[in-house]
Amino acid sequence: MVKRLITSKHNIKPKKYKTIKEIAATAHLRADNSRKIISPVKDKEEWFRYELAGNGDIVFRELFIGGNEELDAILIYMYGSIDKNMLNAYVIKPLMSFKGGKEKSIEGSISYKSIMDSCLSVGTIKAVTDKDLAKNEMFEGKVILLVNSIDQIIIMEVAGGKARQVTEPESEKTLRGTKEGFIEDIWNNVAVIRKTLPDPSLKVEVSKVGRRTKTSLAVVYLKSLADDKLVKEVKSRIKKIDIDGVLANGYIEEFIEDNPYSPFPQTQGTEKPDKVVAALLEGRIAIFLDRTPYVLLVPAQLIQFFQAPEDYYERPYMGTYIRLLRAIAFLVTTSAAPAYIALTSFHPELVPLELLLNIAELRKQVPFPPVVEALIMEFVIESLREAGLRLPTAVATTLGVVGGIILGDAAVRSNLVSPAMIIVITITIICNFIIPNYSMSLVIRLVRLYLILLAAAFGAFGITLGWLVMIIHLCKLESFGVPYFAPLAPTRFKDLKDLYVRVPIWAMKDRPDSIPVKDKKRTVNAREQKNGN
Amino acid sequence: MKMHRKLIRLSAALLCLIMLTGCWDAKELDDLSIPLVVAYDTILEKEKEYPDDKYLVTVGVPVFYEDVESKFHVIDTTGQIIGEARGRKNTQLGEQVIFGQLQVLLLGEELAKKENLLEITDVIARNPRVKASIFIIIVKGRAVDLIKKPPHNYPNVGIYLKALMKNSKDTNFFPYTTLFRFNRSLISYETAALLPHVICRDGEIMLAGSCLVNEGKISGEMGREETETAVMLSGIECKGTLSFEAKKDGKVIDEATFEGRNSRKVTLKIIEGKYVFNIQIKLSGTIVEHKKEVPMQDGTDLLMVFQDSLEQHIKKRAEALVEKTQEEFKFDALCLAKYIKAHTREKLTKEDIDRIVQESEINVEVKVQIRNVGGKM
Amino acid sequence: MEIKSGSSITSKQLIFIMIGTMLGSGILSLPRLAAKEAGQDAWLAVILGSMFPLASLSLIRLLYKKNDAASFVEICRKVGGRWLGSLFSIILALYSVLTASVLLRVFIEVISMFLLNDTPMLAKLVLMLSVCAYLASTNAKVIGRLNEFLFYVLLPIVFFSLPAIVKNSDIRNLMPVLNFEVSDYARAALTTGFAFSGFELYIVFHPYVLKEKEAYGASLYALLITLVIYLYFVIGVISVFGSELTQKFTWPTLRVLATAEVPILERIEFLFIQAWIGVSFRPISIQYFCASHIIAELLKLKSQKWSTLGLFPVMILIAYYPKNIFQVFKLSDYVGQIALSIGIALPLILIVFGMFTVKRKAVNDENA
Repeated sequence: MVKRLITSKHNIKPKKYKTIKEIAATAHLRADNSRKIISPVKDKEEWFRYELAGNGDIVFRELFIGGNEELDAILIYMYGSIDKNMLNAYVIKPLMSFKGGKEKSIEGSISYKSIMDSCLSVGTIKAVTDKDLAKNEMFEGKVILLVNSIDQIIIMEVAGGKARQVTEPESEKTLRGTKEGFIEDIWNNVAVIRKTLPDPSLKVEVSKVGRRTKTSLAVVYLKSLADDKLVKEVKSRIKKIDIDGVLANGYIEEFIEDNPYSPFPQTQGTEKPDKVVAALLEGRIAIFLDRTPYVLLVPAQLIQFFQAPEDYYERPYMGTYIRLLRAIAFLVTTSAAPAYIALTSFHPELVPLELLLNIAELRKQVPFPPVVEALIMEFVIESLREAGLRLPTAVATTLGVVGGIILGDAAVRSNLVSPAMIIVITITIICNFIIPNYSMSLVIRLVRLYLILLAAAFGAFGITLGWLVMIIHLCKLESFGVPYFAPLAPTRFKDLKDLYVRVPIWAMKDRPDSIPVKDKKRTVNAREQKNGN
Repeated sequence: MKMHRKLIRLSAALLCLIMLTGCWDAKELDDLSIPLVVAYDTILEKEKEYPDDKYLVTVGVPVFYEDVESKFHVIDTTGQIIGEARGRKNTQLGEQVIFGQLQVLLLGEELAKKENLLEITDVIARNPRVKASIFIIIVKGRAVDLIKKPPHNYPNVGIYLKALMKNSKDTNFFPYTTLFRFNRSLISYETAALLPHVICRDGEIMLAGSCLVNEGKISGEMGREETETAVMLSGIECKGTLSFEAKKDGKVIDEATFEGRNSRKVTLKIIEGKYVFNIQIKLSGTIVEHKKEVPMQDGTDLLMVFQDSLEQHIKKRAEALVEKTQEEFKFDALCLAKYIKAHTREKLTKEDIDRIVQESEINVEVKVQIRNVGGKM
Repeated sequence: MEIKSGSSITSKQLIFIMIGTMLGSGILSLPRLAAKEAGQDAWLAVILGSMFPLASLSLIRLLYKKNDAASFVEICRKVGGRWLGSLFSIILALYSVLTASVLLRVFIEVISMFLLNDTPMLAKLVLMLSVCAYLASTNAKVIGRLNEFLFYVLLPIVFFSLPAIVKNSDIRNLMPVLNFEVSDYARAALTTGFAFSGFELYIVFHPYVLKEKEAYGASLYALLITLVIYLYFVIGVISVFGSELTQKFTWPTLRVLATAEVPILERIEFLFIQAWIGVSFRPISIQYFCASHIIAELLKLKSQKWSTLGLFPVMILIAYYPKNIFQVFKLSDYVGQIALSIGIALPLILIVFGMFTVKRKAVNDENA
């Protein structure tokens, strides 16, 4: 009792007795006599070395913080993913000359915070205690720092490595618009959008998809414009994606589509920032994916696939003319070959007499029925096209000449195909490529094949029924609740302004009717103010 | 969900398979023969295949093979009725026949005089694929002879006749009756149809006049001049040439040719139970030829003289034809029946209409408008 | 009152759906039928004939005003009790199946004559009906969209006939006016009333219109537009052919088009037939849709696709049954008569029953 009285007066702390477990745990540390203090960084380091064994591209850089031997540290990073200059200048150098380290002893323990706040001149930095998380982060291209006596692992972003130059996308060439396309880095792409649309209500919501690839995905929309329900729907569909790896935006498209069995694309893909911004301004939503320059725009409607930005950059009459030309080209490319087959096989009385006599004379020499001719020509042209995709440019040009001119001529002379059929197929192919969107032109080829088969079986009746089935399907299709075939199917006369004609910019007062938005008005009397003066 | 998807997909696939197994209606162009012209005739004893045969049907088909003797295949067969004759042709033809491209129907004169043409043309009218605008021509003599003679300057008779009839309405005042007009006149209007008439003279085919078909049979024939007048009176709109003598104060001062279009206007008034028709023929066009040179000041006067003379000329011809209709033909040859039917509330039969046309007063008035005299004053 | 999602249509779409059902094979055969009864006054007969659908539409509107319901089956059940109500629904469903089959057969007859001769009847029927089944298995919204689109696209067929009609027509063919007995006109009106058959389906679509007040006006609009189009064709055909010749052709409208002499396309009747496939497809599929919709609702099926599939062989059998074209015409006359009676009798009966139900309810309330 006296002892107790004494101790309380003098505030002496009771002595801490080590348990046997603790003694046993540190036994191996006491065994090493070369260093005075045993540093716990070795634990972590061993764990990391074990986990990362077998990888030649991972570097373990040992150093002393502030030159202090007691402050053991290791930097772990992937060699090709970092910017070496930045690493040397802003991470290693500051670490080595860290004054704060020189004065403290290991017992006094520098906090990780002082390293983070005063030493490392890196923009993106954080600290975690979970070794697994740190390992994953390192695999994603970050640099991790293990420090003796500090439990936290510091993770820094010192990204580098080579990326593709910004070039004009091959399939969306324009004359008068921006020639910048997207590249593989998602942050760069999003940055371009922010530059074009610095609206503060532009939201970029990032998530990761793919269990193993952990690809970054960004959902971009204008919060003050886009419908909340639509955004929620998009985000929930993306959340449901559960797959090993996401390699391209096409995977995402297939997961979030309304109708996966339909041949028609229900999202629009683009590589151009101006298209994305135009879509955002209409209340649509853009989906960016890391490692791919293609951006998805939802919801999509059929008429979008027949519009090109060029229409808007030239004058209205030109735009209207091109649009009408595209509409006619669409009809020609889908129905010219089937109509030829139907007319010559089923309804010869409908062809004007002179033309019929001509065709009959020519056909006398050809052994195949028109269907077979059409299918042969289709096959040849498709093969040429596919082959052209895989070949280097120089060879492709030669092949074009060989295929187009010589083959065609030879086919006619050997009486395998009649000249009328060649003309029909040529016009069809040319018209096929007037469609600005690449996915749509692929779909059109399928549609044409289907109509050819129907025409061969049932003549003109077959063609009409084929069109009817297609129109029914288009009317049925909805993309995220927006009718696919608008403004044709639920006919919105206001939106027809943008379908066959291109109305001047100052006359497009409202946003498209079918997409739900918060603010319908687009412009505010742009031109009238001028005329009012 | 899964079950019904499978079922639908299965039925769709089955459907496709069944559908595509047979293209039942597909016909190769190689397997088709495309007759351009068909002719009906009465039959001669020596042509009869069977004793009961009454008609001779000839068909002209272009040939697409090269290195053949003739590029136009003419086949004639006989039969008791037209359809039978047509059917017999298939034993000779190497291909399937499609009638959709028929351009001209030729009828022999004798056949048209004896038989009811509505019954004869029934087989063509019943086929929905035949054009309603196929031309009907009466041939002086036998139609088969016309087809068998190849024209010198055209690939075949079918194309020649089609071109002839198609352009005749812009070059002659001749009737260009198509099947549908023929049917319409005989059935709906209950008037007589005017059919053009061709003859074959020295290897050349030419339009020579017209025939009036009343109640299906030929009931009247007209030569060239009368045909022109009849066309103008009936209101068949054509463009053609008319030559006339220009008379001033009874004296012939010039001879001129007029080229222009015709039209007519008919007004019908019923005065005390008597029908009074006023047919106004209007001609408008240009003078393409006149002999005398006239100084400029008299230009308008001369034009007036031309107009007057032409009016008198046509009026005389028209009135003569009207008289002929009322006395000789005794049926409605001038397509006036539709006016009668439009104005009367009672149900009229064909006899009533004929009687009315006979007894009514028909006044003819001609108005000529000459817009131009050509490039030379 | 919960309406199944996807079943709501705007009043404008109702107009097009109604036009779609009413404007069918009437275009082709109406001139002949009307001319047979009323000669050159066929157009008057057509106008008189439109009184029947007018009466029916008004009755249906009255029915829905008195009883609030979310669908046709519901109103039947409400008015007549569960079993009798179901019976009424089945009657309409059966009628729809019959009409669709007959319309299909008539349509295929025309196609056989002009386009496909040798293809077996069964193949043609199955082909056409499959396309109709595709549409019938969707919902009212899609049908509204499709009909709207098709209406605008097929309107040019009206203009195809302009060259023929303007050049060869003669107004005197329509005179003298009013030359017939009243009984003749009455009979003619009955005949032309059949041409509008399809109006009775208004009873099924009315509850799906978003703004119910506009539904009746929309249906009247549809009737007016159909009437104008029919008048156009009847007047056009008779003024070109004259009333006697019109009676001689099975399908005088097509014959009129054949007389047109257009420079490049020699046979514009062919284009007309293509457009007409689209025109004729609509009533068949809408009737089919109504039948499968009613049956799906009666049997509480999860999806309409099952009832559509189930009705398919039934309709093929009915369509295949007539052996020649005269049997087909007789059957279609028969169906036309049923249309008129169902159009007028069914809503009438339902209204009467409705009044009884109300009385019964009032009595029950008093007793309770």
